Amino acid sequence: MKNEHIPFDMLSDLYDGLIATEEEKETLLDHIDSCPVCRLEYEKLRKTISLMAELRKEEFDLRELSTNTIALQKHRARRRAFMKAMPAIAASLLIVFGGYWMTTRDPGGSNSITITDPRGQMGNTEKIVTIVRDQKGKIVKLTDAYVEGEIELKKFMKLRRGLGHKGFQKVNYRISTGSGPAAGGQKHIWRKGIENVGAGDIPPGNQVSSPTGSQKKYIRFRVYK
Amino acid sequence: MSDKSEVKNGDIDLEVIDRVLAGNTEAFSDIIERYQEMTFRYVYAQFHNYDDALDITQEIFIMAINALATFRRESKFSTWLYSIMVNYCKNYRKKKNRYSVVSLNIVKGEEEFDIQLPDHRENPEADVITQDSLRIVKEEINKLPDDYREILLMRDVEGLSYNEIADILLIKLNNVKVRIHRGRELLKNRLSDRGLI
Repeated sequence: MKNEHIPFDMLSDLYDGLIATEEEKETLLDHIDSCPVCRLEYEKLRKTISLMAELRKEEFDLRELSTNTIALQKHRARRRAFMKAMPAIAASLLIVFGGYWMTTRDPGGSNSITITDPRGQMGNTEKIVTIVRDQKGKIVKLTDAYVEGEIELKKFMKLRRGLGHKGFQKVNYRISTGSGPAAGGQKHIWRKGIENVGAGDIPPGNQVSSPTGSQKKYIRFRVYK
Repeated sequence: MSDKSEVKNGDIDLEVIDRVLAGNTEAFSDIIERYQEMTFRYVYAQFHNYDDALDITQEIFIMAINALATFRRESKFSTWLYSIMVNYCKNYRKKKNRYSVVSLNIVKGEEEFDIQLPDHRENPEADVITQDSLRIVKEEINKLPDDYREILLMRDVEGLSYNEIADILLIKLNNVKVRIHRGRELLKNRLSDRGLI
């Protein structure tokens, strides 16, 4: 290797003890001894690595590092745990305070809406309305006490039977003539008292025959709940 | 470090790891104290800012604590820690611009003086010649390409083996050799140009 110089890679491997065989290593060392260029290069490599190794001897003031690192890690772990629990905590608070609000609010206050349950009366009203409409009658008025309607006279018998079967036996009625549902302004005179009705004919004396025979007769009635 | 002391330290590391995983986080301070110099030195060589290096070193150890359950014990703990360190620094570098020395430009008349403030926290007890040599070496290491600097710090400063470096960087042994050769040659030429060798 007298006319050749050792490539830098081989010098580096030689330094790190990575030359494959002892024989090859000896050859390289012999050359380095005899070649000033390679000897200089090898020496520069050795000094470079030696200077870098000196950096390892540097000392730093790291006295607080361990304590601070552990403290910071614990703080972050606590914060992570809290953030993870946040949705559950928020939901729990919502349930607790929502329940408290619901139980303590004033139902009769000016801003509160009181909803009573007229389920019984409403159910009766619906039943009556259904029965009347099934017989092609018309609903004129709805009150808490009664449902007022109007129906052709000839259909009233069937309506009475239907109402009676469903338990609505208190009916008051009057008969009117006219061209349809009572015209506005006509004064209605109701029978005195509320009649218990059921299956059967309209009581005599209340039947009015049409003077022309062509106009429909209507009976206005009130079904008491 | 001798093989025997390395084995002993390795056993101590595993014992500490078991205690930490059992819930004793404080025990990790033993590991921090054993590896803080190595970690800080590497980080400081990468970023050349003492305070940043402290913060980053702290973050690296916190990351190690949090990931401790994933340490499979197939390699040395120091190798595993080094992997975390190298990757953290790479990611950090992507986000931040690094800078070497603090400099002040003072204009005096028509001349401009560039004053470099030495960081006395490094080694206040060292004599001036050694400190100056080290300063030059650090400057030149800083100028190296990132992958050469990183591998020379591992090999020639910390003394990691080629196989350990290959495991940390997840590259082939041959690539480790090539990078070491090129890094050393580049650094050698630059230190020679500056008259240090």
